Amino acid sequence: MILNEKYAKALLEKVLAFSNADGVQVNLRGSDQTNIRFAVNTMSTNGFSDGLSLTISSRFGKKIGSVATNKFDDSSLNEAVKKSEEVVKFSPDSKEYVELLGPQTYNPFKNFSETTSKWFEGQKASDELNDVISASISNDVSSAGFLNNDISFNSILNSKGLFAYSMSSDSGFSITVRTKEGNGSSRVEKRYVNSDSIKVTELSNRAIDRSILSKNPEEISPGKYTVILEPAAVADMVSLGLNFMGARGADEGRSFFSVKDGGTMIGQEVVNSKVTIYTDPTDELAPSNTFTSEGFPRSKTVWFENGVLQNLHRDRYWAEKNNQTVIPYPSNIIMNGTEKSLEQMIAETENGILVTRFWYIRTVSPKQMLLTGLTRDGIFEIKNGKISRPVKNFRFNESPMNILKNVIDIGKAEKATGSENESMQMFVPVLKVANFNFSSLSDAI
Amino acid sequence: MRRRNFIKYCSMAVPGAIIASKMPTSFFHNEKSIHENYDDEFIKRMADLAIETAKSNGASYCDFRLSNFRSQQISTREATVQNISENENFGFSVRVIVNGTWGFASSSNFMEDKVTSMSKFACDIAKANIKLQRARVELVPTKAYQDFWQTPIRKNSFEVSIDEKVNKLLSINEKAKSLGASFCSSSFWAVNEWKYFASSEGSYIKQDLHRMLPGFQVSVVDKTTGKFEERNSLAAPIGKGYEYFEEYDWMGDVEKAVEETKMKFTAKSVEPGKKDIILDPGNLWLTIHESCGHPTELDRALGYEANYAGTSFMTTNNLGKLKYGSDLINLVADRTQIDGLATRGYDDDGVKTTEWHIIKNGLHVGYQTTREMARFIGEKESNACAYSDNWSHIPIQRMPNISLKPGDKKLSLNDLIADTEDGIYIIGNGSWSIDMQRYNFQFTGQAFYEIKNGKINQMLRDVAYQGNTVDFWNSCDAICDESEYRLGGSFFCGKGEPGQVSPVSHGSSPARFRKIKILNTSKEIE
Repeated sequence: MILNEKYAKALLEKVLAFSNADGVQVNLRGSDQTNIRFAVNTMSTNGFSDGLSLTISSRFGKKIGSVATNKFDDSSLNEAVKKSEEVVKFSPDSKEYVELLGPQTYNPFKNFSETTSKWFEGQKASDELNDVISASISNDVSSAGFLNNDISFNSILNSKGLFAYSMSSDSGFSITVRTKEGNGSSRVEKRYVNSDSIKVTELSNRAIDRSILSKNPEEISPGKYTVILEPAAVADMVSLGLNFMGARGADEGRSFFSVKDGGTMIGQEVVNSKVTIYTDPTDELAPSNTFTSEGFPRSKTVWFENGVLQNLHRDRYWAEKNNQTVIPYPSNIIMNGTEKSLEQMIAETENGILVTRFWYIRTVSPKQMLLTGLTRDGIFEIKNGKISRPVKNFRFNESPMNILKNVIDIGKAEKATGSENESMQMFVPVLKVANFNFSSLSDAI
Repeated sequence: MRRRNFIKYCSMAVPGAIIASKMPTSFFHNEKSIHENYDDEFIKRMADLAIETAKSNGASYCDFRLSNFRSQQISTREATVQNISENENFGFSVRVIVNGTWGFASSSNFMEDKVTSMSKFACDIAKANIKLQRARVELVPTKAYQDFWQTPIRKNSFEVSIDEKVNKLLSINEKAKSLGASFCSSSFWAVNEWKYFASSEGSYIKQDLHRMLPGFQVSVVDKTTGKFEERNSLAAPIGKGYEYFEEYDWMGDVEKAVEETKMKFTAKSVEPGKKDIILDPGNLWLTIHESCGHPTELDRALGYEANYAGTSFMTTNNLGKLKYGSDLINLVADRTQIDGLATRGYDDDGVKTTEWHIIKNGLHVGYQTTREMARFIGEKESNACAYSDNWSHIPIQRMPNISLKPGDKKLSLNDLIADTEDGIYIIGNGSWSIDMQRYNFQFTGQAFYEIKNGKINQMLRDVAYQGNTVDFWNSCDAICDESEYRLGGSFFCGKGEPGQVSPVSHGSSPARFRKIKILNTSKEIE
């Protein structure tokens, strides 16, 4: 359910009026979500959901407790406020207490498009999907995928007068195409704020072509290879790398970014000097929310500039304690690219492996930032500037920081979605990386 | 009924999908509309209304689900409470089949006119998508049930004071710090999933499910070397009440955790190569989950998860033929297992839960099914594996508790270690990853001990084991008896689009696997 700013504020004010606490913050979120899922060349499920939810955080002195509900009649709202106050009474003082924020100024949100709310109206999306299924049948492949169209709003009001409101839209299309014999697979996914940017037919055709190219992969030995990582693979590595970039863990000595005898790597050249990565919620390349759940304004933060670590994310408590700047966890990630196309990068590679995407990535060792995972849906050998043959999937054991350190070349950047962090808005390039560690082979296709 | 019209964002038409009609613009009101202890009669009337509306709009099948997911989360670190929250998420959904096509609509706004409009909307969605349905949806039969089922808890977590829980968590942290831990965080998470199911076939089922996830993590930092080590609690999430939190030996676990964390700094770095390994139930549950649970999901094996979770090497043409493991291996699916996270009376298709073999004496003999999927392998009925994690999500096939049967012969863990010449004993689950068809996996643990000549010799570090599912299970040559049996599990098994999580348990006794590939993780990126 979507409430406009006026009605969201009216509801938040009503909730606030029920409060007897020293301080209170109320977060109200709502969404309308529609989706169609298909597999084995037929629709499998679909659905519509409208939801509205409220979180009330009450404070007495330095005690805080919160209650979430989605019951909106007056008595339920009053009951939820009282319950949050009851929860507080049983809480000890928070030793990491920070005051509620007062009114803030936010950048205007750019992650909402009116167009997206209309994508699933009428028969447009359904017709597009019908064409995809027909094309899959005529190409003798099996397609599975997902179309979604989500509209949401997010609002905050607190007893110190902070009010924030934003809307967002997210339209997505993903398709996995498997050959009939199960000996080839490919996948394409795109997510945009504006559904007009999603070219369903073009993306499906690309996936169908790639699946045929990936047929009958051959075995090559695991080991260290020069790889070209397509943006979906880069998106995983960069976003997972940023998960480790908390300032507190680094200051406390339990992070990859901690240094011996205390301190952090800020200011050091941690990755290749070609690498610049930043967050900017207002950047049209991958727009995102302009405030945090506390109502703290998000603005541009550079994480790496020409390879040098510039910032680690730091919450309000840790920033106040250490007299440092608050740096919210990233809401989007943008990595600078070049004009070089994927095809050019392949053409300039004598020996290498082209990786479409990764799968099931987990941390093996936080102090090394060592991750394991697998390649999936298209991995190819490159010989003398050309794709020479599809090869079997690998398990890797690698570190995102190692990858960014070993960058040889950077290609064109585009909107990308990884397999592990779908909600993060990302705009990242193709990367050519030396010495990527493939640990073993997988028979999976 | 008095209403106040909170008008929707004015120009925003409901994403039509799929669709035909637009939704009403009034969305909530000021009167008490629903509560978790709401009158049974009213709920039944709403269910009947949804079903009758669907029938009159062309549905050959309809089910109505109303659910309230309540959770309480407390998290602490050292002497600080970081978060205390109580969450309730209430709503309903209507699922229909019209002309062999699914339609699904849901809302958090449980009102009579909303029930009617959502039921009609589900039918409209189905009708608008008939052209996409290249194979008709048909359900295998089930009996109609009128029943109430409840997790057999002794003490309701939600009726215990928050300060008691906070004090216990802080005492764990304090103990860890007093023993030399640099940091300790601990948490308590209780869930009460209340749900009501009614179908056009005459079922009216109410269920009250409870589960909990308590735990801690100890960290020790050596600032002089810039190194740090960690160990998590070995407590498992479980389908029990507060009694589990009260009875678990937290002080014993935290003492051992600090001791083992300190030992890791000086532990021997493992020599990579092929080794025999003994997996403790706290580690083996996850290996069962990933390498047996997921590949035997029938929807996955048929390609319905190809775009997200993947497919399966355990294809239907190999059912009854694939020698999945050694003769000792009996993996049994059981949605009635005591304390299991996936234990309940009925699934979200309204089918009564049961138990059955997935692997029998090493042979693949069974899949997990729903009413929609069962017929694809010629089954006449479903084994009750439909689940939706939220009123807003359509039920899909989800994993039951799947457990490894203990060995028939008397065999303790000590006996098994004594019988092992050169191996590694692995405790607790650490990192885990497996490919999209469930062949190649890599797991770590919380602690590793070298076994030499039948005795625990010393602690090891940097250990990961890699394997291929069929080779791995065929290498199992010993399973301890039922006296060593324990449950492990997960609150958050992910699957589906939009993504859903489900809770699931896996039990086992310690088991030995021969000649498994061991990696030294510290040398992987040297």
